[in-house]
Amino acid sequence: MSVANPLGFFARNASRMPAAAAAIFGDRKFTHAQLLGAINSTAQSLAGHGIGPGSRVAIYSDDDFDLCRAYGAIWSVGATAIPLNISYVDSALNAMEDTITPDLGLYSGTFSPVRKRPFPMQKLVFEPNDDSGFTPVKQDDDAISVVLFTSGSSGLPKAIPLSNRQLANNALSTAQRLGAHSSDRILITTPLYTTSSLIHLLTMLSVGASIVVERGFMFGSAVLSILEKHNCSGFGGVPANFIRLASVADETPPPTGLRFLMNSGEHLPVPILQLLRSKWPGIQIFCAYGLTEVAGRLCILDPEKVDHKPGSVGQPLAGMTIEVLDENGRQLPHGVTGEVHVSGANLMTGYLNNESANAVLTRSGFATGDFGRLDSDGDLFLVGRADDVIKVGGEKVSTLAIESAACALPGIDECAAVAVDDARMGTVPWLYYVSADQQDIGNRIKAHLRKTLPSNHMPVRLIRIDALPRTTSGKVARKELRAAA
Amino acid sequence: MDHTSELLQYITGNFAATNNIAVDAETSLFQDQVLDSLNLVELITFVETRFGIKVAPSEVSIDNLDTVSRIAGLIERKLVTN
Repeated sequence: MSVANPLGFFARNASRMPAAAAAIFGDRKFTHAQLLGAINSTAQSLAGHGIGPGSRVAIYSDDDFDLCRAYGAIWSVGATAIPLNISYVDSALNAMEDTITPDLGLYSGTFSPVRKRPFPMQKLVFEPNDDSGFTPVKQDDDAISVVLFTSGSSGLPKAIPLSNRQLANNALSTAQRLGAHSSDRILITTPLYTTSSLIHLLTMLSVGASIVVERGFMFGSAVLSILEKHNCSGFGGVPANFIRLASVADETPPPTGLRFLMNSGEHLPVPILQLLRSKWPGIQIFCAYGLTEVAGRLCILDPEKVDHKPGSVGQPLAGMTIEVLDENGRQLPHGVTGEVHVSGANLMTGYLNNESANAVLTRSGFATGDFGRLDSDGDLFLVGRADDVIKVGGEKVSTLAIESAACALPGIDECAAVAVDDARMGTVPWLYYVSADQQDIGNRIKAHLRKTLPSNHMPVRLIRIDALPRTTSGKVARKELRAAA
Repeated sequence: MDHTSELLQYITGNFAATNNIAVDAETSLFQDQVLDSLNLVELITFVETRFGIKVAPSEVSIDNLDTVSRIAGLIERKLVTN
């Protein structure tokens, strides 16, 4: 059985360790055999709808078990899985559908398909006892297994096609870096439609390990009790998770089975890293840097180096190369900051139906838009972004999308969204605006943004100012706004 | 208006309406999913600017923030200490 495709992970685990736990979604627990059974019966129904190699299936769900079996089932019939973030407003979902032109939509959980679509929508219903003997189609390792979306600087999400081999490679090399083995069990609290969570799932399955997905906001104490309850060896989160965990680490020992923490999505503040290290010295901390464009993880710092290189995200995974280049594409010496360019086997071939965005693919690979420097060992330190994209809760957020939504409201003369460091969340968006309108404008902006923006784009604070500060070239002086925050 | 009513008004106006959930002073804001983590930062930012207090990361706990009456209690304790 090939493991150059993610379906191979599910199938191999089900045959080698059928009775071992594979995944726990809230209070629903599945063994590897049960998970494959659920995938098979879902695949059978997909095949019944004429879905096969080359088909594109969009998934609309906030139920992680449904997301998990939908991925497996779609791969099983040889089709492409396209998970969509259902917290996006309908106009954004509509634009994403126009980009990917699905043959079928699967939905479940709290999603209801109100709008009429040019493709059929099928509700995912699970029949737990249906252990059908569906035979998966032969997997083409280079076929496109997923299309994942990431926010672009224009605010319109960009579609990234990735192959079976790229997902499997990313998961296997991440597992190797983590030193993961079949007895591991990771807790994640972010939905399985995100690249990071999907890679957490596949990383664990690639070594026959298991995953716990608990959704919803959790204080540090709740995370501790879930880690303890499910005897988790790892916790994969974003800085906001670790900031809250650090607040309880001060007075509580680590959960008994815990071996590692893995931060991804955005930069883990160094004081939080150091607090966790000093309170829980026996726990390994993996600081990762990832991009959907490279199928998930790109760099992971060796946890042995975390104390003397705090803030670094380490070195690229096997098969990947990073370079720090100046604006003319010349390689910069160690210690000098420039744009991070990446190349290698996991790099996407290009954004789907988006010629202008594909300008970031150059001869030297992919210009990430992230700025950083390499030290003399080749460990990467990130320092910021080239464009107007910020990270909130580990997901990319376009400040331009926030600004265009706010400016669409009559009464707003101009506005600027900036990323502000928040000791409780990592990074959060604030919106500065100029308006000659009456007092109540703040509440009207809020109500308007809540209706038009995905929840992670919502500015946590609105600040009215007389005029936006400008640089001499007339651009909004975002640095100044950030410094004033 | 007392702190509890003001907080209820803010939460109802900003978050509960979107999620169609009735909120009173004892509703668990997180278990009942009235708020997510970003809403929490928004709420804390509101509390800090409205009442002129500072909420430290270590005070972001279920004991201090899970219900409107607990948040009102935190505000009152902080105003007394200040």
